[in-house]
Amino acid sequence: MARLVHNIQKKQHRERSQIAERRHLGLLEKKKDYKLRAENYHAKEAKLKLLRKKAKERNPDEFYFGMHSTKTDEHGIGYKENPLDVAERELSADAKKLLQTQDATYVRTMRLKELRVIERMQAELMPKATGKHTIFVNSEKEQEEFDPAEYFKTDKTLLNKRENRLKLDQLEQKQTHAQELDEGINKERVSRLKKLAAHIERERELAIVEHRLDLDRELAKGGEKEKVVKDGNVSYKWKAERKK
Amino acid sequence: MGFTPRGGRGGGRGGFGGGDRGGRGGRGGFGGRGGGRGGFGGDRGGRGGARGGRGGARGGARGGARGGRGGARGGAKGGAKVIVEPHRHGGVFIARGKEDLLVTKNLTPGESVYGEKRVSVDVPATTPDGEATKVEYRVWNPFRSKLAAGILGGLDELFIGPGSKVLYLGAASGTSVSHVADVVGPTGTVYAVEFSHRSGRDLIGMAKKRPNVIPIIEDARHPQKYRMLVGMVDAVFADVAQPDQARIIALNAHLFLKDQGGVIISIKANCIDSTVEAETVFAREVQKLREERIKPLEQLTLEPYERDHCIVIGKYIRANK
Repeated sequence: MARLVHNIQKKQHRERSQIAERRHLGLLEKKKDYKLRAENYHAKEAKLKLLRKKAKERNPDEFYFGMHSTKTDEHGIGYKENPLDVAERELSADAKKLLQTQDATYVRTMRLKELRVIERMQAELMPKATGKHTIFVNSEKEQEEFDPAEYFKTDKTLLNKRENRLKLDQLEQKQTHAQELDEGINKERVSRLKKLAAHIERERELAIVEHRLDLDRELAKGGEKEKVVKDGNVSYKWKAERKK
Repeated sequence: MGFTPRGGRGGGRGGFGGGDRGGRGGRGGFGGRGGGRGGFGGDRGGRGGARGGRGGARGGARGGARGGRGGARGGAKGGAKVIVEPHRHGGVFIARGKEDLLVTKNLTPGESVYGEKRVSVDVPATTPDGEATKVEYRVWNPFRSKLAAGILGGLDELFIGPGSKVLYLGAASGTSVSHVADVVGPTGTVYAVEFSHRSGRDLIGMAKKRPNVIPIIEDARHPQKYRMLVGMVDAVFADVAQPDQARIIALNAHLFLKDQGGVIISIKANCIDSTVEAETVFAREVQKLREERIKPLEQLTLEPYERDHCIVIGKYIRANK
C-alpha cells in the first residue's frame, strides 16, 4: 500500500556518531542501546533480589525432591549428575566386564577386517623388494673386481629394477613395446598407495586401542603386580600365582 | 563406513560410528552415545535431501568414492588393459596394468588353485589366416610364496625353468607348487613332497589336474621311502622350516640331484634358532650347506614380503675334482 507521507518533504534523519577523541570508548550509545542494557541490568537485579529473599527465608527443615539427585562439590555448589554416568556406575561388576569384553571383541573384529584389506591391497600393489642380496664369490680378488651388471648379465640401467633384470640377449630379442602404459594408471597407483597407508595407520591405531582395552580388563582382575616402565612404555608384570 | 573420505583419523572414527549405529545402539554407557550419533547422521541425510542441488552433489561424490573401491577389488581382471612382459627367468612373466603383477602361464586355463586371480591376454594370430587366441595367466602372490618373493627380489639363477625337473620339499597345500608346475610347463616335472596328510589332500587335489606334478606324502627325512618315484632332478627346492633342514636337503640332494644341479632353500630364522640374530642363523645354514658339497651362490632376504626369511641358492657339486 502506498504510504500517505511525503517522502521528499521530510528531512533526512541523521545520527550523531562517536566523536574522534572519544573513539576509544567504542560506539556512541543511543537510547535504544541504553534501554537494552538497562533492562538486562534490572532483570538481573530482580533475580538477585529474589534469590536473596529466598535464601533469607529458607527453612532448613523443609524437604525438596531435588535433594535426592543433587550433590555439592568441594566448594559447596550444588550440581546434578549425568543420568548415563549414574547408570554405568550402578552396573554390576560382571556386567561391566561383559561390556568391556564386547568393546574389545568389536575392536578386534574391526582390526582383523583392516588386516584383511591390507593383505589384499598389498598383494595387488606388489611393493618393491628391499631385501639384502648377497653374492658368494670364490676369492677376495673376485670380490674386489665384482661388477654387478656383468654378474647378472644385464644392462646397467636395469640393476635397480630388481623385479625383472632382463638378460642382455633377452633385451635384444624383446620387441620395443609401442604400447606404453598411460599416465592415468600411474595416478591411480599413487592414490591406492595412499589408501593403503590410511588402512595401515587405522590398523595400528586399532591395535593400540585393543591392547589398552585388554590391559584395562586384566588390571581390573586384580592380583599382585608390578608396574614396569621401559623407554616410556608402561607395562605390568603379574606375580606368578600357583593355580592348584 | 560412510565417513571414509574424510581422511586418516576421521576414517577411523567413521568405522566406530558406523558399527554402533547398526546392532549396538541400545547398549548402556558408551553404546548409548553411539546411538545418539547415529541419529545425528540420519538427520544430516534428511537435510541434504531438502537442500536439493547441494545434497545431490554430495551423494554423488560419495557414490563415486565407493565406485573407486569397487574398481580396486576388480583389479586386473577381464576388460582391464594388461601387457604381459617376459621375465628374466623363463616361464615367469610380469603383467603390467593397473598394477604390476608376477604371473605364470596357467596350465589348466579357467581354473584357480587357491582363489588367486587370473589374467587373460589376447595373443594376435601368428599366421595371416589364423585366429587370435587367449592366454591365461595366474597371479603369483609374493606375500604367500617365498619363491615369488625371491624372484621379485632379483635372484640371479633360479635353476627352475621350462622343461626342468624339480624336487619340491615342503609342498604344503600345493599353492606354490602349482606355480612351479606352470613354470616348468608340460615338459617338466615337479615332485612335491609333503608330510602332513591334511595339506597333502589339497596337494593331491591340485596334482590331479596337473599331469606334471607328482605328489608324495612322505617324510622328507627319509628319501629312500620315495626313491622309486623320483628320478634325477635339475633342482631341489626346500621350504621345510625344520631345525635340521640342511641335513634333510643334503640327503635328498645326494640321492636325486644331478651334478651342478641347483639347490634353492628358503630359511626361516625363527624355525632354526630363535635365540640368535637372523643373520647368524643364515650364515650357519650356509656353512652347513658348504659341508654337504653345496656351493652357495647367492643369498637374499625377503623383506618386505616376509620377516627374517631368506632364500639361499647353491650349486650341488657331486664329485670332487
